[in-house]
Amino acid sequence: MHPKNLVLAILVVLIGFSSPQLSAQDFDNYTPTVSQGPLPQDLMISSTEKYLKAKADSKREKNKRRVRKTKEKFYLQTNFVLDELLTSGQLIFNDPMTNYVKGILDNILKGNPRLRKEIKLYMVRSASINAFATDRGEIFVNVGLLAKINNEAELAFILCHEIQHYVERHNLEAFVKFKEIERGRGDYKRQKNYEKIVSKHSYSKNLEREADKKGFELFLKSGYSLNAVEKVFDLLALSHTSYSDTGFDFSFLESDYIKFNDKVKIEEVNEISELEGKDDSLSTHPSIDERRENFEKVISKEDRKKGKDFIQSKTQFDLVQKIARFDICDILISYRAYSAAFYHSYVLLKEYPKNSYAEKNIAKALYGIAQYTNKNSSDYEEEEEEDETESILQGQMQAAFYFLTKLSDKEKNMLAGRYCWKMHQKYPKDKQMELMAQDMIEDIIIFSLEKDYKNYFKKEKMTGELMTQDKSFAPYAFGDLLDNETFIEWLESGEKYRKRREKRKNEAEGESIYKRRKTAREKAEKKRKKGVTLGRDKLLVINPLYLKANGRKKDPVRLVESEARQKEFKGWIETLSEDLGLKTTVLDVKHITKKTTIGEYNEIMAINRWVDELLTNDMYMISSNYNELLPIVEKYKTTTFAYTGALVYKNRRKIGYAEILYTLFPQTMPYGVSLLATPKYDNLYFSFVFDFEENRVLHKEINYMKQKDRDGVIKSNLYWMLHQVKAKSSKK
Amino acid sequence: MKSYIIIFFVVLLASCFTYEATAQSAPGLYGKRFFVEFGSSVMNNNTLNRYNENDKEPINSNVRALLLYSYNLQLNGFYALSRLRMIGGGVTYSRLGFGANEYPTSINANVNSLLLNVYVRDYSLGDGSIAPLGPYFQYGVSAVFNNRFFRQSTSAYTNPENFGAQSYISPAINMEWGNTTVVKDKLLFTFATQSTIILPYGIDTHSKEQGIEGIIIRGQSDSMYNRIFTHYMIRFKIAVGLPFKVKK
Repeated sequence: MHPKNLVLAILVVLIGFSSPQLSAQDFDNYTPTVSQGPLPQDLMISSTEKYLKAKADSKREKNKRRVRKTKEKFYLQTNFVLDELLTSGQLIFNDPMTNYVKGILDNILKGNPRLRKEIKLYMVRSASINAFATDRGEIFVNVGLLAKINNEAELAFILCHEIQHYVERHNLEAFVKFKEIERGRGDYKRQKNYEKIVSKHSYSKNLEREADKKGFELFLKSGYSLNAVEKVFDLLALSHTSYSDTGFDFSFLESDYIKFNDKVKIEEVNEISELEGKDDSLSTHPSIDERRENFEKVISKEDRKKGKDFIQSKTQFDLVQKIARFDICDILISYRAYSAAFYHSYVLLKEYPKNSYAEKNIAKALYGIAQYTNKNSSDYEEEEEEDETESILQGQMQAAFYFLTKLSDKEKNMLAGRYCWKMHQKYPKDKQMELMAQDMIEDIIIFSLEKDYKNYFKKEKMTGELMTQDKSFAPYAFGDLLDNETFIEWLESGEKYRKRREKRKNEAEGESIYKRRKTAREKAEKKRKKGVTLGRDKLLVINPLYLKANGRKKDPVRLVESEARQKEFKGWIETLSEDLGLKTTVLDVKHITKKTTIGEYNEIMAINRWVDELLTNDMYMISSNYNELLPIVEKYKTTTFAYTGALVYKNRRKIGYAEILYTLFPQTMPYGVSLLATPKYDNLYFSFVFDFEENRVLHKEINYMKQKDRDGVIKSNLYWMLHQVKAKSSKK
Repeated sequence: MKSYIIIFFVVLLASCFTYEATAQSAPGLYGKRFFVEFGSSVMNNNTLNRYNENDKEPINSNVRALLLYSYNLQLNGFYALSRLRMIGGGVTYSRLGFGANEYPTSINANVNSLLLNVYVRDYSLGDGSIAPLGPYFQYGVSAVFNNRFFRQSTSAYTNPENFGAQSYISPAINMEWGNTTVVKDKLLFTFATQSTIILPYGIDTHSKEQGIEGIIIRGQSDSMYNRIFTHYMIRFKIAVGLPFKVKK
């Protein structure tokens, strides 16, 4: 081959791999989308810097003092709030979905490169149908919107609307106006509170109308089809429904040992229809009907045949939409919307039979449902919460929800256990599936069986005769596994837990609630006094937090001070660990530098999700992104993670009799004066130490302090936590 | 009463040793568990004699009365046994005046007082403290050594030159409520209220006065005890300290 041709061939291959159209995503072994490419500059600049720059720019504008102050407040709040969103782990950038939407932006703003440069685009890991823009030029598009939208043109129309919000600085304008309304100035004088709320919404609606109008003008120039406009409003009107209305058939969960009777089958599902009421006085957006009507008038003047549905290719659109639909399942799992995740994974499985990602997500969803069922049933004080979404469920998704609701608690456990076991057998190398199966089978014994499992489980198959007798499948669910060694081992392990649990329960029964609480309190206090000895050499600290508030100020949260202090706090973790000889790595999304790689960023996000799930689940439960953490644990060679921080609240000291008496007597005057001169502090230092392998909180400490958050006080608390992580027990 | 003091002392020591078992869990101040503290305690004292002051005269100015404080110097050492407990010992040096004007005798003396303390300092979990920082309560036992030097006597029956010095030892119980904070990771600041209860079981270790002078001096014992008791009863302490790392 001629060298020139060879170079050309290599180039073609390289370009082919880097192009989203040609790079084939392995959907069978799909992994949820993570951010790619270089880290955005926005993440490397602190919120304080951004705020100070905006404040300086604002000073150059000729505004009245009051307006300038309001604007400064806006810059302060938005910069910190938006950066919180940027670092929340909910955003994705430089991935195929973002790149595709960026392509649409390029088309829309091809005539305005300066504006295009100002706009930054992020995808949001949210299943809801939404997009929004900020005054800093960020446009956020939810994955849910991409999953449901019909074509590129519809997305372009939404983007045009959002671009106008940015161009017209609507957020800032609304903020200034809302403050004016709150203060009751000008036209808003003597308005009652309710009227003020209506005034705010009315103003907000006007801004939306303006964005609609100007966005449409931009859209007209973009070359996209006008048919998209009406479709977008149909989409918004049905935003409460799933992107799919695939009929739900539970037979895929059935086997010789599991069969469902008709009670779990819904007779009729609610028809898919619009929910929105006509009264939009308390809505930030005009009603969809009004917006539709407004556009109908304008569109009628235009040539509808003009424009295209796709300017980029339809194949590309289909690919990113498929990615979005795959991602939705994981997003719903992460939000613990297990029933919705179950249905959407089912839809994927129906379209791509034997898809491992869909199958595993169904296992995760069933596992989540069973775990929360057990948690609620064991916590007798907790009232069962009604699923609010049920009242607005429409279409086939309702059938899936109905199916899950009609299963008894025991059946949910058996079904989840059986399905997780099946997945473990099918994917034996998948550690998460193995742990979920084991946990589920142990939980069946702990939570679902009153008697010995040997007497409960039946070896027979579930026959048609049993079905007609309206019998539950629960005793038959594991009929073929009662000779399986691993299965029996897990059952026995569950049996041990159950006996221990029962013993504890029986012991507690003889005692009064007061005594039980007292014993528990004493035990916890003893642990806090003495501390624990975890004996670890390495530690991974994730996103340390420092938040300062001052109750004497109108805006109590001290954002700028908190950020500066947080940076110091991170430094202390590193230096104190070094003093102790504890190898500590601090992964902090708030302090990203040019050296931080995208890999490290994604690691922070993954650990953050793991920690969040562990803390909020408040029970032993395998995290939904367990597998994602395996390479991280391997890389840092530690399974110990920590989440730590301080919450500082300064407030005015109430002057009581004691303070007055101290001050009046010469002998106690110095103390009295010191009391009067100093504010009151209510501070919290917290730390949670987790073990990834054990999937639990190893140690938690919440230290309430009435002292000022002096460096020494906070460092002392931090050192105590690190000391306990490092300290080895003298007992063998 | 003496047996109560012994019991108190034994309990104090026992509580230190029970905590010794958990010493490996003592964080101290970022690993530094030994502290030396130097300070002074003050008390507004406008009705009692001060050092080198003869018979108490009434103070006319209220402002001046407010500013009349008596001082002492303290040197203490502590060791952090656990997160919430430290043990320590220290010495307090005071100079004070003594005046007794009871017919037919009037005497004035200077007293050098040395207080030796051993104590346990406890921090509270409720305050979220980690020793040595935060609010604390300290308690312990002390011995007070007083040396009186008589300066003046106006008794018609005695020779002033016959008055000399007298030593007196007494046991005491000490208590302290305070708060310690740290500046720049190295300097500890303590503000506290101290109370030392001198017990009325003093022993005269040295009294060279014989005859009528001796009788007069010993006749003032109760007044002397009251003076020392009042001096130590309640005081406000300000101290600075330094942490040290103890090598194992």
